[in-house]
Amino acid sequence: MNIFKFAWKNLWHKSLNTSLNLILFAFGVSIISALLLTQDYFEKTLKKNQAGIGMVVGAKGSPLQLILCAIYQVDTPTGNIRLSETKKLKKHPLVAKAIPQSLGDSYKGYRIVGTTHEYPELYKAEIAEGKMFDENKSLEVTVGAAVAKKIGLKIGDDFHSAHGIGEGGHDHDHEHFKVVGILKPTGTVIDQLLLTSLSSIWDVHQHEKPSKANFGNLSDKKVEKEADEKEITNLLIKFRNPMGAITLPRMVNEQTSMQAASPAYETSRLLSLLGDAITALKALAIAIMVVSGLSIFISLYNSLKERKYELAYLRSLGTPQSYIFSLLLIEGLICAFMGFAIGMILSHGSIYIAATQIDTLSALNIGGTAFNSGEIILFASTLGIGFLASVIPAIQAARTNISQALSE
Amino acid sequence: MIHIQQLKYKYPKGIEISFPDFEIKSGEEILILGASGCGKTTLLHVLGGLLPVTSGKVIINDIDITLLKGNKIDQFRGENIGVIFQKPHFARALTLHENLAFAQKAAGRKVDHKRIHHLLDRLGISQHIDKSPSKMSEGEKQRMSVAMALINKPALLLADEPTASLDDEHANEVIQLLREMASEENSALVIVTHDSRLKEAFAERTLTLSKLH
Repeated sequence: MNIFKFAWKNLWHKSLNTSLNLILFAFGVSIISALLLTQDYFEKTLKKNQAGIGMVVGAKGSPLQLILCAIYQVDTPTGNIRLSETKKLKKHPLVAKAIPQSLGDSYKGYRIVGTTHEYPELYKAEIAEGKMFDENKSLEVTVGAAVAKKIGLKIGDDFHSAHGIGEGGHDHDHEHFKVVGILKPTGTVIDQLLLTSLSSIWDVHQHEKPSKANFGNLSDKKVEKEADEKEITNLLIKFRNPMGAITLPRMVNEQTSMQAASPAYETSRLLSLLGDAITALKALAIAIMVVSGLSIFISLYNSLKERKYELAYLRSLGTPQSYIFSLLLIEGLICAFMGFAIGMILSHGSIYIAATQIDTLSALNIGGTAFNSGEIILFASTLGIGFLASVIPAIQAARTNISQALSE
Repeated sequence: MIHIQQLKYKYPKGIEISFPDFEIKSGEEILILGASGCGKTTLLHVLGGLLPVTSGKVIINDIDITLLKGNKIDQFRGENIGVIFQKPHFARALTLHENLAFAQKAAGRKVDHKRIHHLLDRLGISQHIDKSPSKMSEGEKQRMSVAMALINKPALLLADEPTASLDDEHANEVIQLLREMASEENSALVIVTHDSRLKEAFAERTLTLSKLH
């Protein structure tokens, strides 16, 4: 009989033991795999969404909040800045691109971003249907691929925006946005947005009561200001050369009423905060795997007592020591391999299911279908644990004194 | 032809035991009788190449198996010696058919399904062919261990206390079966036992071992 088939049958002859070992192993593998996937997706998505933006300029406040709001569209704005003040910055020789964003409204929980065509260009967004919103016209909207799919927006549809970035804000029912285009999927944050011109946001909020406009940051005076005193939420800056990163943030922070934040710096700060938690969870998962390895070892070692006669009998039939050694080793390795496979199915499957249910995960592009290079190391480690757990019982089994065992 | 010459075995505790010389031809049988602790099982294990001797020769088909080491003795045992142990042992995860096929492969032979079916039929347990041996009665397990020992048509068939826990009727049945099967396969049969009931049946060929001192 094929040794693998024999090992397989031996494992399932003790199905309860084997199942418990597998559950323990799979549990450890799935936690590590899920952490690797999440961390990897998270880092890649953060980097992809930065799209070469070297600096974000916004109202003073938390720099991390500014980055999370302006680039990843997941936090509330720190406030507004005067458009006139940003004009000087746009003209600075070290600035290659300065893309304005005006935030504050949403439709069915998806953010409406007032901006220019440079913003979708930053993410190499292409039109799937219709056209890009007109920068000089108000209330035209181009919809991100994920939004269009999720809430079923089509070309020609119109809707009222709601105030605030979550669901439940009051409707701006005096103005109707009209869908003029739908973007192709980009795998970036832009898929989750509704893009419109800056003037659309201003027009919608002109009718607002002053205290409610743009997250309550626009005061009575501000709403009444002239065109050149209009406000935006933030400005995304691409530098012409690396000198920009050295001089411009300091200049903005020291010489203006605005704040400059670096996406690279804030993102790495965020990752280091998350990194500690991920490292702690990984250590826990490794401990689980080691325990499951020990469990396989104990299980195989204990089963040797019961199987001593059987193994000695097989030797009496002429079975060489090497076969018995390999048999036990293969049993341990099959356990480890199956534990790995089940763990991978668990981690990828649960992430896939979670991604289809939770918008935040799909916004972060976490899908569970891709594999991570760290999983190759995880696979090797799993087999290593399986090998270590079974090698001592395998040696003992191979060295069984046939005569003694069969005389007992 | 099997020759046993000047065979000595030294136990790990230092006691040395000498066994009488004897020989058996193919198809012949011998009963080795002795009280508990006289070294009967030790002799059986030495004959089966399961224990290394201190000195002497065990010649089976012109090969002195005391000179064979490692894989060579395993291979020789698989091909030429069948052992029926006091308690039946099998690979519990395998069916009867798989156990017998395993024994054929262990002896370096191809799986002979015809022979497997023939033996199981002959021993009256063919209805269990796809069952695990653990699901059979004790009597059926004993028959299965006979099948396992004979599957490779061994030159030497060794049986250790085959009637130890059986009443007279079943003891006779088992001995009859062993004799018939060994004769059919032309194997030399060696039975070691303390069961003096068998003395009469093997009156012509009984070797008595004296107790160790």
